[in-house]
Amino acid sequence: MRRWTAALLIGPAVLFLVGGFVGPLTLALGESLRGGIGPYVRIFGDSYYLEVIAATLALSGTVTLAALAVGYPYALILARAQGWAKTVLLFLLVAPLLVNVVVRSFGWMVIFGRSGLVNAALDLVGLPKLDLLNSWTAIGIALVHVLLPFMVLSIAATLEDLDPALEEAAATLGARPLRRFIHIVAPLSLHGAVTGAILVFALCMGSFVTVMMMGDNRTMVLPLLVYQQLSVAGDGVFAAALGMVLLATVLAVFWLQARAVRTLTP
Amino acid sequence: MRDSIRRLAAASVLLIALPVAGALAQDKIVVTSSGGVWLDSAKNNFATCFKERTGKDPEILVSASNEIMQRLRASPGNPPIHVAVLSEIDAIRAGQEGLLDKLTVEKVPNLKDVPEVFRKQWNDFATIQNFGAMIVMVNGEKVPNPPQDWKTLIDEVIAGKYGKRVSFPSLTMPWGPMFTWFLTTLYDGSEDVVFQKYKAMLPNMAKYWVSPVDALNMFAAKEIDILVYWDGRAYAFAEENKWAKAYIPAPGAFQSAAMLAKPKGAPELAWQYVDCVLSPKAQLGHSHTVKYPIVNSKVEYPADLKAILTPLEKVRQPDFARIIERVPNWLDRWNREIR
Amino acid sequence: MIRRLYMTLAGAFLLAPLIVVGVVAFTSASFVSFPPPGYSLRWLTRVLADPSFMRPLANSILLGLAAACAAAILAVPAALALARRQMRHAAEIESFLLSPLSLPALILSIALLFYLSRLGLGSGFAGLFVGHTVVVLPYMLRTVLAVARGVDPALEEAAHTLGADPWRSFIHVTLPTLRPGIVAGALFAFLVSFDEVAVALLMSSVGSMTLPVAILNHVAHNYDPAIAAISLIKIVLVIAVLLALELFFGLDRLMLSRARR
Repeated sequence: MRRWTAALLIGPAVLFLVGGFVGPLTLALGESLRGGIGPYVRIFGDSYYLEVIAATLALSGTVTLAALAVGYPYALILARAQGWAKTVLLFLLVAPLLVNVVVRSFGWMVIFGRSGLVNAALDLVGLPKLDLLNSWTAIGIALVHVLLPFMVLSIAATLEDLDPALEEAAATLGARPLRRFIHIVAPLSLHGAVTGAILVFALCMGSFVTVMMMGDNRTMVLPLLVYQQLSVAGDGVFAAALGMVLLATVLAVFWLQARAVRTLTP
Repeated sequence: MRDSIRRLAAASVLLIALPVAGALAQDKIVVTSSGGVWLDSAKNNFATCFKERTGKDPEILVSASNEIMQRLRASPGNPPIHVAVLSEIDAIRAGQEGLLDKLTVEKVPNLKDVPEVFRKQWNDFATIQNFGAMIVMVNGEKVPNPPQDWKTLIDEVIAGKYGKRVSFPSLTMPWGPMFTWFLTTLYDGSEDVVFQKYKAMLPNMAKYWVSPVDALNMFAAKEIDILVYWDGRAYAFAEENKWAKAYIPAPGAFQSAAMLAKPKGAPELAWQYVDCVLSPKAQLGHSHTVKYPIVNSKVEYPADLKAILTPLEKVRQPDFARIIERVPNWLDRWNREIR
Repeated sequence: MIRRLYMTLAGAFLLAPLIVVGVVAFTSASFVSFPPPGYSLRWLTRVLADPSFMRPLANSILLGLAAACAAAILAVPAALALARRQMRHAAEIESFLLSPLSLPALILSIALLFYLSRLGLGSGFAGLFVGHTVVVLPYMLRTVLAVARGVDPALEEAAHTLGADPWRSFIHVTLPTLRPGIVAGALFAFLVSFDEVAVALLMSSVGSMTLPVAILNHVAHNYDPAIAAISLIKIVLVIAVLLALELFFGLDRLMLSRARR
């Protein structure tokens, strides 16, 4: 492909984002630097903020891996399903996204609460009650629940092209299921899994309502700090600086991933 | 295929063009309100009055204080909102930033019946339109005899008398700083004591609540037995659920209020709406609908309403100037210490 | 066997909290509680008859469709170009195009408000449309890119050699192979826009208010089961759309690329 064709294809998207995203981004960056680099010194010179950044990364990383583990089999089944089965699977997947976060959290409370369904069941079989609500675990479960569609559909989209004849041929030639998976299915879905991971990770890094509803005082993440600065402290400058740090962190992860994928794929 | 793409393109242009055309056509007074019963009240009481006086319908935008503030800041002098309902702190900030017009009796005749205490701290850039208080809700079956004053309640929570089944508002919810200020008034103004108490209560706190809905969720799901919450909603909940009780511990509660203001640059007609909100008839109707006390001194409450409204004597108005000054420090302490 | 067990568990995980919500939507009480003290249709009928929910619902559907279309028009060509190996600085350009994903929505929305206000697009549908297109573009780009990277470039070259002009080979060869990515991306774009609240909170005017904003503003001061009811209505709506798609087009055909048909 010639260079000008590439420029022509990418141009509109780049121009749109320069107008619709870089413009506002510059404003936000300017706001964060209005009083000098003070806010950034405050963030990077303080172990509290660094801990929060680490916790945010850890939560997002864990949720991404969990979503991959839970979602991969789902994607395989979804990609191979046909007719009504596919409709049902797709509905199950997107349904969580349609329920408002507030009522969804109430649903989790009914299930995981100390007088909730899980504990009632544990009590029935004589096991000790669990304190599941308001913890990193609760946040993680709730996030995997609602972000799962982003992982599954990304993977399934790349598996739709998987020709069943190819797998059958491999099976006929005596390849075991695991080998078939490693050599045929996995390479095909690699880009899908990377896509799912990027989307889930980025969505996690930015989510704070779920963290607020399902967590407690110990579960602090970067976007929640941004929210506090805006809604309680009214400090737009520090909020903007925290936002820039979050942006830079996620961008660094994106860039590493793009480099890694290019190196890994022949 | 090409045809269908062309049709799709035409459809998307239409999709975009229609609402844009609709947006350009509006030339009205835009006022704000909270949602649900608040919106009902704004329609039935305030907008009705405005229509009687001017023959026009105001556009009622349901929006929260934070968002209104950002919109006013984004277009100073040419506000997209002509009458704003703001939080106390936002109203003070907006006044200081020069985003509001001063309310005067010439422009708003009904202001003469609004006691000065409801607007003094705002320098007449805004007035309280209704207020409430943060009180205590208990599960009457689990806690039949709750402590009658705040300090005993706090000490009993610390002692673990109610287990981990208590929820207080977090400093990080919008009215958290006001609650913290209120607590300092109980402990001779000492912030250190209040933070010690916050820290000591933490092990027995199901959660310091941030989202009001989340808080009521926990109470409704019977995850907690004691909840510090707004009076209007607490009484409404208790009315429907017989196991729930609500009361005001001694020595009272802090006042939490909705502020009414006219942004600078809004048309003169907006004053009519402000005056309507403060008129005795609309004020009483509003109080009936939202179950909160109002500010026009000409209003006489009927007995049924009087019974559930927190009286003015029981509420303390926070010192907002001090709160605004202390909030960044409190927030920092809260994040580091109370965990 | 393992597959059935997995599907049962996954289904239970996905549905469990939603069943609670579904039940709460039918409560007769004026507060959310579980199990409800009694059952009625009062909240469903109230919400369905309430223009302060139904108009935002229509707005949100329009906005979601418009943003998804715009994202597709911008992102599909870009993803195609990025999928080609020879592309220089592909990693940097890809990161740039994905970057709206990484700016916290709260900051983006405020910056966008100030920016668009300067351009005179402060509030109303235009601002919402631009904002949501920025937000959903990366989803479309990334899903199409994932599929495009798996597509054999030889296919397009073959079409080219056979004398098809680039536009025709794009419409008849490239686009159909990308279909699963475009469908997934469009679904994401729509669902993200349909649920987006931060940008919409600052951009929507009285006429263009979106559903998530209406819900948030309702919840802020009223905690009644109306939100459970509106969530149920959304679910029923999506079931209807999925059923219609399945009946008229066949979902698997829609999600498949041409290669397998």
